[in-house]
Amino acid sequence: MSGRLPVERFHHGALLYAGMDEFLAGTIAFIREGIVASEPVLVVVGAPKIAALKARLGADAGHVQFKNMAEVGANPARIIPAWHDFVESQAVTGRPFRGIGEPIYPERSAVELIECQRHEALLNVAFDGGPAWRLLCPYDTTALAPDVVEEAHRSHPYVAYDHTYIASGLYAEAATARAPFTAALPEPSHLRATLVFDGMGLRPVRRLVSTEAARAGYTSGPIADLVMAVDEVATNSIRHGGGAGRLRIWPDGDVLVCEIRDRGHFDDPLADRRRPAPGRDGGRGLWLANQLCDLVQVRSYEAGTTVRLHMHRDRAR
Amino acid sequence: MGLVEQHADRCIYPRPFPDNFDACPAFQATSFIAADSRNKPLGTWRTCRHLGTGNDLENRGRFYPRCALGDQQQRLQWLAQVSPAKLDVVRALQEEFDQLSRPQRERLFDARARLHTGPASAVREPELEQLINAFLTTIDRFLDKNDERFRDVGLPAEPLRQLIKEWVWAWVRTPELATPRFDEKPLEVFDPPVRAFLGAPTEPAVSATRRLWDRPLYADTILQILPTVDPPGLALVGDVDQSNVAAVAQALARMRGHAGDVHVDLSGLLFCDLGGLQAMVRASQALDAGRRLVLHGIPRQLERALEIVDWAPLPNLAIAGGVSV
Repeated sequence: MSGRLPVERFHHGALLYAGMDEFLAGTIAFIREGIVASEPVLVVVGAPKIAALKARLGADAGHVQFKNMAEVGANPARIIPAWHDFVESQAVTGRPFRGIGEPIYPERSAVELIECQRHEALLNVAFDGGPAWRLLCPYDTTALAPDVVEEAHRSHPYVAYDHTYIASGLYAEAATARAPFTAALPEPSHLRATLVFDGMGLRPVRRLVSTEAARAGYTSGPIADLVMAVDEVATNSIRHGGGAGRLRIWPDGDVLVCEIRDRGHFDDPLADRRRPAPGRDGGRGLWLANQLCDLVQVRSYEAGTTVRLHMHRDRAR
Repeated sequence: MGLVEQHADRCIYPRPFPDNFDACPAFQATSFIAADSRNKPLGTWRTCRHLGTGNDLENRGRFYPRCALGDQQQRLQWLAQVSPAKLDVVRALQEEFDQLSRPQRERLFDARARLHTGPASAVREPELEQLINAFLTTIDRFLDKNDERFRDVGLPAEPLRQLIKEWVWAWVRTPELATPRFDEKPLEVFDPPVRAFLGAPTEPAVSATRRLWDRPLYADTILQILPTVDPPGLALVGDVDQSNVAAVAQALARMRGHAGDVHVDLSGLLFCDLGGLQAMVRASQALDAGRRLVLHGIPRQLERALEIVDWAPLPNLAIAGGVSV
């Protein structure tokens, strides 16, 4: 298998598999190559797959670090920071390392899926040009729709079939993902509240979010999180988005959505996935929103930027 | 002001409270069935859970509208202590319950009036008991359905259920126009600040430091920055956001001139954004080695935000135990 040799640069590959046996065959081979080469390995997949991998690896499992994708990647925008932490901790050693990450699985909702696909494309922007390492992303062809598998060919420069990597003919260069993300957002069917805000003060924004979330049945923890996330995004609108914005709130099943629109432009595709430093201003609003909310949709259109913050009512914390 | 206010705990807002009243941050609407002198219902009014009557000591026999939470500063301190999000949960539960139980409360009110206004129209006890039981069943269901929300605000369902049952019976048995006497004992299972959610008396909220209210360093409509003594430093009371974070940074910078640790009392904060947190972190970084910026009474939400941004190591920043619930 061609995954044995050290890579010269970031190597982002999709592993297409049909069912658990093929998943295990493909990932175990990749992991064992890493172990043989003394490469640190981080595997971020669902809990049942972690259990199956540990059983199959036996004593070798001790050489592998496992993380549950359902926890790390509940909000897909938190996955790049997690890989970033891993890359930073390994890069100092100068040795090769590798990872497996399965962000896309059938349980993902339609809105999550789009954000996961965006995440896959942004991985190339985040790690191209950085330290050389291998990341393998398994895709279950028996459970995922054909267009999802096709999209994997666009977001991954390499695709592994039958233990062999092939350069993907559909791969769109990282530059494509650097362009503004403009995927359409469906209009809500019924709004709970709308509020226009400007630099005069965000207290009315915070009051409205808190009141509406309480009325929607949320407890104080998620309410305070949502208030803080909306406040930070609205602060961005005032500082970088033309000085004003519009907040809309609506329920979508068991999710409460808060949308902030402004006239600003979002030109740093990774701004929402980079930990803010205390000495640096800007960009931190979306980063914090990603840590506090279950899903954050960021779109940059001609007319301005739209950010939607999603909070599940029954999230366990 | 030309007038000297004798009662610091007077409710300063116009009553009856308008439909979308939000001027008082501690306002907790409850619906109240008003009655004429013969105890006949006149309609439903909105009042505030914390509004009561105080005796005017200067004018015997006269009363003034009194806020059970205390004066303006104590109201804000109480709100910071319970947190605005929890008050919103309580408000939402009250709204839902008022709407759900309105027909039953009206029937109960009417039955109680008939019970107390004379033999001719008097209701028989069994009828009243039936109405009360139906009302209590509604309450039971409401408590069960919203168990998580009641626990969240510090009002676990079981003691609350018992308390409400006693209150309903006391209210029905109390003659017209008199205020029912409630037993205060069952309330002791709830934390003191939380008791105010039920309209029960609570001790005035305490701040983490002693503040000099009459000498604010800065004030706008949502934030006051006050000097503190014991320990010396400053207190942030209200909301810190993009509109006033520069004033916070400036006040913190001025503290650098003083000797020793800088103490910041956050126990009166209702909100603080990441910019505010960043101002505190920068102020700590600007201190000489060995001096610390000590945060007192940091709200739980802000402490979590500090963990999330993970700006460690911050050798000059210390977090002292607070009074927040």
